[in-house]
Amino acid sequence: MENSDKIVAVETAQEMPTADDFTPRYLDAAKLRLTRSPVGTPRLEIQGEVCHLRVIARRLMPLSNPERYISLAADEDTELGILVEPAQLDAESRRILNEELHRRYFTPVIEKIYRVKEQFGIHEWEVKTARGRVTFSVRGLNQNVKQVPPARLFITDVRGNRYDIPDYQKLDAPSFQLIQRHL
Amino acid sequence: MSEEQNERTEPQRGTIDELPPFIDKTLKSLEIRFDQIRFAVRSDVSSSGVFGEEWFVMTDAAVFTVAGNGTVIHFIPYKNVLGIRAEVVIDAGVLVLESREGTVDLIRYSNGCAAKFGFVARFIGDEIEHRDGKRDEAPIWDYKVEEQVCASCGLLLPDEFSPCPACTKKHKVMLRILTYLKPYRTKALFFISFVIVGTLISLVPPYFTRILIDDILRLNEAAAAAQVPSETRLGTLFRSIQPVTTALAIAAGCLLATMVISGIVTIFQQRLGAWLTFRVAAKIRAHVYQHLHNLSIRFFDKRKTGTVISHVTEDSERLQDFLLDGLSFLAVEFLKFFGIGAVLFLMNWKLACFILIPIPIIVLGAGWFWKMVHSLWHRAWRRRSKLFDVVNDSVSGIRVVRAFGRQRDEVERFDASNIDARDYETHAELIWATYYPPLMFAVQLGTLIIWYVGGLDILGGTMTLGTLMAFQSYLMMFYEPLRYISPLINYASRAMTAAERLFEVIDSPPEQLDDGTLEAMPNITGEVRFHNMTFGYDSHKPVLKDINLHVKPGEMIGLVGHSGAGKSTLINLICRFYTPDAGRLEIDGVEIEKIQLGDLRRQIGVVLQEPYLFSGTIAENIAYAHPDATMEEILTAAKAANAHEFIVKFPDGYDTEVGERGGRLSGGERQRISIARAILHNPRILILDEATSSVDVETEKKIQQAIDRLVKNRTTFAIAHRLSTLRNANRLFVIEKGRGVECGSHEELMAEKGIYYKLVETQREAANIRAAAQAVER
Repeated sequence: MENSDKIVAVETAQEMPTADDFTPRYLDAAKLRLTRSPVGTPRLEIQGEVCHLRVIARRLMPLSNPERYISLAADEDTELGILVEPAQLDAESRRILNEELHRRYFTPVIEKIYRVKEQFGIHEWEVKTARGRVTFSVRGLNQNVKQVPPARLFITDVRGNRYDIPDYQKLDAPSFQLIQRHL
Repeated sequence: MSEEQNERTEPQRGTIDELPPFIDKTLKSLEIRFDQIRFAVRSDVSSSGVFGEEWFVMTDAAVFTVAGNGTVIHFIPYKNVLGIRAEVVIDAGVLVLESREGTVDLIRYSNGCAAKFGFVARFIGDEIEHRDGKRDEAPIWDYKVEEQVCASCGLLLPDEFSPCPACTKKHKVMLRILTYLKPYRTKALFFISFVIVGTLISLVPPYFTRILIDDILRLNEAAAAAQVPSETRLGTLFRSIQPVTTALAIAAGCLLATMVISGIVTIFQQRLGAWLTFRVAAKIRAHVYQHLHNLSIRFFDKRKTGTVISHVTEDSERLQDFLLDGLSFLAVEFLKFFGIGAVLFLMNWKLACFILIPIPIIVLGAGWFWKMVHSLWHRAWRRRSKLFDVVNDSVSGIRVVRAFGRQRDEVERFDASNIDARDYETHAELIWATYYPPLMFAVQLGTLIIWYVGGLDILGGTMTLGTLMAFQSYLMMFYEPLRYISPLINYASRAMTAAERLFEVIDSPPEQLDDGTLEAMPNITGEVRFHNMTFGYDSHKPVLKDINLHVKPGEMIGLVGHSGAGKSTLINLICRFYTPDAGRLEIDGVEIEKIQLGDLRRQIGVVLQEPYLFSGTIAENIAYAHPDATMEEILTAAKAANAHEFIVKFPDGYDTEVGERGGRLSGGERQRISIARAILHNPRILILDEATSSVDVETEKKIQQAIDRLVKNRTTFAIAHRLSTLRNANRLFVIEKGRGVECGSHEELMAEKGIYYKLVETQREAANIRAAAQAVER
């Protein structure tokens, strides 16, 4: 009885996924081609392999290294592989990839601060972001401004929108002074 | 269709957002009448991904989107729509539509619009399923408007519970602190009278100085002095006293008397001040702490524990210090300032005008200084608070730090924060050191002017030396408040920042607001019902979606699913740490938000994976829910929980101190004590969260036995990764990616060969491997 159990167990163990499934798969940029379907769905072709409709592109290091290490996936759970250098893609593929990243990573980056007005603990910010000029309100700066060392700031407004200042020390002087005064 | 016919009407379904005028033209071009519109939703992001206006409109026949300039971007006949979903991307969302032509990004929106688009997607999705016959019931339009704006003043509110800051926080922080004095009104009035009396007395000595110089001491000088009449009535009186030494003695006696009275008044004033201060500070502290316990769990989700602790301790300490030393000082100096100001003008208004010269410089300078130090100290405080967090972080994880040999890196991390805090604090002090002396210079300028102008008057014979001397002493007293106003400002600004933060805690919404509609439910039977319930910690990222489950009283439900599927979230909702975003969660047919929290919590018991024991004895911990429980009740509970057997072995028995977080007990022992606690608590609804993980087989058996006794006749929700522990469950509820996918007994679900079946198979394999490994070892 014990013996047969042992055999079964050994067999099961052999059926366990092979080591290869646990090593990250790096995709060769030369073999990748991104296209769009007529309605705009991004399609990924891995040469000599398969073609995936509606591919998902995710940054592995969206904050520290947003331009490199892109994970491409067929759906939420099925990663196809990792593209380390998107710059090596052909121009068309790169453009589509950037569009997809632009769609997925919305977080507006603040480029300039025009005005910060405080009233009753609510700070109203008027800023220029990479996605246009916008005004938003922040309550309780202590909780809603997060600093990521060394100088990155994430500001969350009352509506739940998050704004990114990658390096507040690199803002222009008036904006920097507003940050200094209020934070 | 004529233009007049297209009158603006309410959308059929109800208004989510009101359509702007520019859309009229677009509708006309599409030949759509207002009464055909079912609803319209405004987005704040345009299709190109920049901020801007865009509209999603649904009519009976189509869905379409309109850009801010009125052009139609997408137009899809409703019959072609196969499905719709609100896709969550990073800090935004996309409404994705599946149509016969393919998948299309219909409209984009920021997080701020995620809740309404999420609702719209759910509603349309359900309606499509209903239309296609995949679903029996037509969806219910239950859009809840989250009012973000104050009803009376229109100011944007931080969240739906918060009171409007403009309407409620009219008083400044200081006034709010003073409201804490209300119960001690009489004492406060006495305090104020002491302050006034003290101030009046302090005006006396310079007056006598003047008489001493002008009327008494000068009598010994040339007789010419007598020719000048005394400037004061009291002075004339003193002149009439002979010999002069008697006058001098009397004057000195009067001065002594004022000093003694002044001393006595000061003693009473300070005693009373201290008494009041500690009362007020303790009350604020109590208020904050009490409020901390009533806050919703969401408050703690957003903050680190270290920050909350530093809130309550440091801030209230700082506030108390200020109230003790600063506030009475401020009150006294304020009164002196105006009292002496008046005296100076009465003495010699021309000269008094000169003392005003430096005042604008002082006030403006101090005002600028105030702003500066306030923000500087605030920044320094934030850095210190962060330093505190770093310490907390690495000390809590000290074992991990040691295990990975990262001590040096941790020290470096601390150093970085420490230096950061040092730099900010130094900067604040440097600014202080640099700008304080110039401010002092401005203050001293006044004295200088008076020496010169007053000196000219004396030389010109229009003023006596005594008057000038008295004037100078008054002037010192007059400027004294100004001199100290700067450190006081620094002090006050720090204290006010601290108070502001304390009030921020007090102003955070409580877990439950009793608006009179709450139901008292002293005896819950334990029927639990989820009805299309949806919930997410961020309302735009649902963790649980459309949960439907009806649990009969006394039933045991095993919650099964991969980690992260939403099992713990479901339990958090039953405990009412959070409330559902959509749909309902009912206990005994009453919506959970409507049940009085006290009643609810009294009848819910929790046995957690990591049982939390408080410092105190074992007996106290078992009786935590009912501190007045008898020894017999405690024994019964301990026995039923299989805890008695090991407790008797302790030298101190039930009086054994468990120490911080129960560190002196083993995991299995802590677990059984927490089960005993739950048994004594005798809840109607019981929650077991992985109660048997990380203990040896023997202990597991004991715990399992204890649990079996505990769950009897109680509605139970049990989470376990090891499915074997759920063998007593009446039904198993399988959650997969936030949705309830399977529900039934073990046998039913095994027969279904679905997710549960797969989970059981995987675990069996794992168990086999373990067994085999053990066999090999043998």
